[in-house]
Amino acid sequence: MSIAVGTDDVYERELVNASEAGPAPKRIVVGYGFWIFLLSDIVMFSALFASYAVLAKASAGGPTGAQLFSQQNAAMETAFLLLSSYSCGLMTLAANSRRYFRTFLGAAVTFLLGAAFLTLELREFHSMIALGATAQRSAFLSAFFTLVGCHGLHVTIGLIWLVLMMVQLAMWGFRPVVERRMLCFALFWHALDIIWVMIFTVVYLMGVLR
Amino acid sequence: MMYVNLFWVWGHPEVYILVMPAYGIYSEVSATFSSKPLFGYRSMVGATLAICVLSYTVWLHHFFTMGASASVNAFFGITSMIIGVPTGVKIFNWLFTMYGGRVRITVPVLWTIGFMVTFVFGGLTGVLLALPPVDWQVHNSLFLVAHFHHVIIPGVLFGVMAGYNYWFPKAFGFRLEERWGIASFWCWFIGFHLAFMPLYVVGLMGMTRRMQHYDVLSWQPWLWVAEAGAVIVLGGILCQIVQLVVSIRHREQLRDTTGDPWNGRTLEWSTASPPPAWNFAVPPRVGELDAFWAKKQRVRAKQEQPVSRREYQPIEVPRNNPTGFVTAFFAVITGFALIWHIWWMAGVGLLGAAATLLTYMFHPDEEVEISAEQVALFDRTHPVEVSL
Repeated sequence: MSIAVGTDDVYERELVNASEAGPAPKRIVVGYGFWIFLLSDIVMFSALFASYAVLAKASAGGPTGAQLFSQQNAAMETAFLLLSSYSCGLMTLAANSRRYFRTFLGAAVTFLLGAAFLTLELREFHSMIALGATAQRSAFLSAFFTLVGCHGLHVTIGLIWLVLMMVQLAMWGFRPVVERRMLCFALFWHALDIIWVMIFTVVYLMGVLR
Repeated sequence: MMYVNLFWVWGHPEVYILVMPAYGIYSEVSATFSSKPLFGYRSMVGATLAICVLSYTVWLHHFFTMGASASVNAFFGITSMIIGVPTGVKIFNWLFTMYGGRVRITVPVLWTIGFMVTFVFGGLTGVLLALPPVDWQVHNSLFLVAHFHHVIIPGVLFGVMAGYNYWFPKAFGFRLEERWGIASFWCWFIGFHLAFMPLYVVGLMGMTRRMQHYDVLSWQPWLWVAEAGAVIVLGGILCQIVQLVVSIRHREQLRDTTGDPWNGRTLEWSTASPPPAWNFAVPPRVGELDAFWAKKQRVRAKQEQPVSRREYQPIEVPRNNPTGFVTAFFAVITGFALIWHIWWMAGVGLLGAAATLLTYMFHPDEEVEISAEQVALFDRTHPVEVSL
């Protein structure tokens, strides 16, 4: 972005000395804006976590967390998602050094790991619903499906976003706009990881405690 | 109760989100029309931050009768009273801003003074309601209804009206007609108090909110007074509409050619009215609070010359883009459909929003560059009193 400066020498000197070199670079502005969006998302998840914490024991005579949750499944989900965050980090590094093949490879691995996570989650939901543990069964299950489902929905949107970014990268190469969007995607993906770690702890680990 | 808790833990901070921009408007208006800097700028910022934090700690006062323990109610009662303190700081700051200033009683100032008087009433009844035992007595009564109208109407609507009259010339290039503005203010102010003061009385007499009919004769005179007040408020609304129509008709007489119709203090008044898309041809230097005012003082004292020579450079501005509006349109459809379980319509809304975002995503040129010549031409044809 170009900035207009006055003709006055004093003004120009002051401008440089005071580090008032015009508006911040767009990458910074976009990253900042996206952080604000992520924080708003985290506020929403905080409300869902608070509801879950209050309702976790309200199983209304229906199945409880200890009966429903499989530690093994949750551990695998966690492993897939954390590894996908790692491959997403590798993708960002490759994109920063503008290596196409490594970027695409990182994206493909991230996508596959994310899809594997989602498959496990949907299988878990399916088996729970087959057992009659639907969202309507109890307050605990309503809170569970809202919280975990909302995270899963975010992962789904993230996967669609990742595919779109790869299409844009193939179409336009490393344009500034593509780079900024990939930066936002990486922030989004890592934030989902943090939320999952909370879900793993609060829902799955604490859920099987007596 | 889970839903009510979630609703109000969002909803109470939200009323501060409503009222905070209005506080900002009152700060601008009181400083500008008193020709003084805002009193206690730092304490104003501190009070705003205090309100931001405290606003998250008071939500339970919306349902003291839920049946939480006395300690829980006491906690939220105390926090609700404490939040009155930073708000009081703000009121004193505005008063001290006006104190000793050369106050010009314009329409925005009328709304600001009207706000301070009315809002203090609302705040006082709010502190009463913050006491859980009192709240148990008047819960769900018209006393409560009168209270929250007494804070929200001056806290939001009066602020909006002050800001509308204050920035209208900046946005549209001509001032709003003053006499109809004054008439509108007085109708609103008198009508509002007539409409809501009697509601405190009938609330204390036991009238609950949202009644489909009533058969208590002793309420009736008070409700007639309230109705008369509502009619006067209607007169205020009509005056506002007339004000706008008259102002548009007489826009040539009301034209603001200086860019600074109120002898303003802040940077927006150093641009033309209405300002160009790029706002400032050259980024302004800001060394102090009220930068434009300080510059005007220096120029008038001949300590500094207005900028005469300038070197213009092209400016990059975002292209006009309807994506936000169109997405919001589809989001409204989706929200409506989800509330009423109209699944096909929710699908249409989501698909529409997704298609809009995709169109935006694959349309790479979001920026347009304004040439240096165009910026220079605008500056030459729209001279303002003091350029920064």
